[in-house]
Amino acid sequence: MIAALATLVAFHGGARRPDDDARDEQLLARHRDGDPEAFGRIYRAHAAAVYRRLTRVLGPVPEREDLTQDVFLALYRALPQFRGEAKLTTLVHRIALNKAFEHLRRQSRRRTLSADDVDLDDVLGPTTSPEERVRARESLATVLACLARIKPKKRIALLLRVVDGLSFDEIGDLVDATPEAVAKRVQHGQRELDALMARAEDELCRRRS
Amino acid sequence: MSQRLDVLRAAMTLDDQLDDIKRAQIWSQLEPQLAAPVPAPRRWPLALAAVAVAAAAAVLGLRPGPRSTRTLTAPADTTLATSLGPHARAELVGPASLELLAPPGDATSVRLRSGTLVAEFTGGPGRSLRIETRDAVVEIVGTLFAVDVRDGATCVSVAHGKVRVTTRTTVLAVAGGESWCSTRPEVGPIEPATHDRLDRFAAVLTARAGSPAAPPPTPAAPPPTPAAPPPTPAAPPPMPAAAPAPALAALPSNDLPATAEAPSIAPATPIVPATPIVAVTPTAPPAPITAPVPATPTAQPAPVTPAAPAAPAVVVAPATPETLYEAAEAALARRDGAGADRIFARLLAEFPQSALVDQALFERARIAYERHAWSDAQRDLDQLAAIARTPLAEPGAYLSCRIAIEARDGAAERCLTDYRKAYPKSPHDLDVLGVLIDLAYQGGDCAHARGRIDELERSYPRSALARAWAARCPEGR
Repeated sequence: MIAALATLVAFHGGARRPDDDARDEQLLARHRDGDPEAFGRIYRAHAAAVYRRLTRVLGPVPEREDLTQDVFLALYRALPQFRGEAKLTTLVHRIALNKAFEHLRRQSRRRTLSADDVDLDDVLGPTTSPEERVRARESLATVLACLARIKPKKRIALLLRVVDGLSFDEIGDLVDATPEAVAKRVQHGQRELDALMARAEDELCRRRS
Repeated sequence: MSQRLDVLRAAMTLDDQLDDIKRAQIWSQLEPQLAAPVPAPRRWPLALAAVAVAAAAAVLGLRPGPRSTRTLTAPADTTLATSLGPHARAELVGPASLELLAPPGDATSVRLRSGTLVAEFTGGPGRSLRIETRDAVVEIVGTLFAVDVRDGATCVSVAHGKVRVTTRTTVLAVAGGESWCSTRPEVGPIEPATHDRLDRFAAVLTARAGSPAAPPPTPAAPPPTPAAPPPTPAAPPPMPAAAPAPALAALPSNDLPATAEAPSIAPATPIVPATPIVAVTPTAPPAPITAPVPATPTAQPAPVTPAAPAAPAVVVAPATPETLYEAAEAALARRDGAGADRIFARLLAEFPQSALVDQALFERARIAYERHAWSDAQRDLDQLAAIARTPLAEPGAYLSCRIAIEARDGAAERCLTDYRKAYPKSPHDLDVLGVLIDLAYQGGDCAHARGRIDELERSYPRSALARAWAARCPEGR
């Protein structure tokens, strides 16, 4: 059931268009020229992608909105030093992943996200049966609990690879690591996750029986 | 393993869309921080010194004064719409300056230094609103009223209810339809201009409440009696009559900021403040009211301009498509879909050639969609579809199909099929295909959906959805 949940996404897709980079450059130029509205437009253009990126690394945690805010505050402060060495999108997503990394490190010392934090009712719809809801919640709980036990760097690399389908080069670009290092993180992360999930599923089966 | 990864993908893409309301909310919190200076690096010795000073101050009994003030300033030709605590909605008509003397709550206390404050206060047990001016204290228990401080004089006008005014020499009550000024001892009728302002404020509140049962219209001012003394030369000049129905605030207001001083707004550049605490409206320039004011006090009172119809929500003048759009976003941030919708409607009406028309149409459609007003949403989407080369054509078409699904009008399948033909590389294609399969399955069984399921497996073989449908409808069923 949970596999089908991902398909119930809303209608703001967010695929970038070819002219988005040109638009970003224009907005950056306007921002440098002191146009007070330019940053607001940069925000509007990238907020959804940042939020999506954070979700895909952190899961549906309630802190995503605060973190999105932090990302754009950091971006605003970084822009005076930004000389266009990379695309604005790359800069934004690097900052987002840094914030996600910091968040995960902090979280590892506190409680982790549980399936109870996620409002499945919003996503499943009224017609979903109680059994399906229970199964969805269990699957979600297993995934989130297992992910929480993987080190942040490995987790980020793994999720960028598995969920977003990025190449090792692209991930390296975002997390400032070589493709080889990224590949290693993904490989280790995947192995750990697999082992953890297998163990969690066994546990679940034992409980059910 | 692959199944586990599917579960992982599904879990991490759950609820990953940032809707416009959330986006606007985040921006409304972020924007004020952008203007703040970058925090300096931590300096522990200074911090420790500050702690030591604070501790010493505590020991010595040094405490801040009992009242902390926050000032709201409205420049000339500007009206700030705000609230004074949870029970009072107000407009500050510039040039004006208002201090909040304590955090707003059931008992709210303000000082009006200059200008006109128009407010409606909803009374109740334990509630009070106290307005201090230089020469009077006005206490309100529940009413629609205006306080005007000008040229060193205070005038209090009450539309309905009653207020108590305390001066250095007397205490008096001002009732509905009455006005009192510190420059003359008697209570008299309300100035027509003030009456007009109160009427329009009541209309705004009614529009905001969205209910015709909101405060009753202000009663007409009683005719001045022949015995009423003519205004003395020292009396404050009457407030300029406002033009009928300028764009007055129809947005719900929030409390004044809890910690920061409200920004003072430069007269030359009325702007929407960075925080959505108040809405700014240009005050209409002085203009004659609809009927001439009688020249003598014995004449019949001038018919007062009737309450303006619900005006579109507040924006800055001169309004531009951009300022209107920003105001609408601010309204969305406050979850005020109706207010945002009115502003978008105004944008469309006043700037039909603007580059923001497509966005306004799409946003209106979304707002209507969220309140299940399918035909309203579809009307906006039809207009959006008529705009050539808008980047919102694709999301608009998708929303249109979603409406068809929600409205169960039977056109959903055709809509989604057409959508896939028009936008074969759409990022929503997988979702749309999923819905089409679901519709086919609901209309029969696996056999009905087989063609679509096969297409799903061909086009998106690694997708979680393909696996889910393969499990539900294996080959041969």
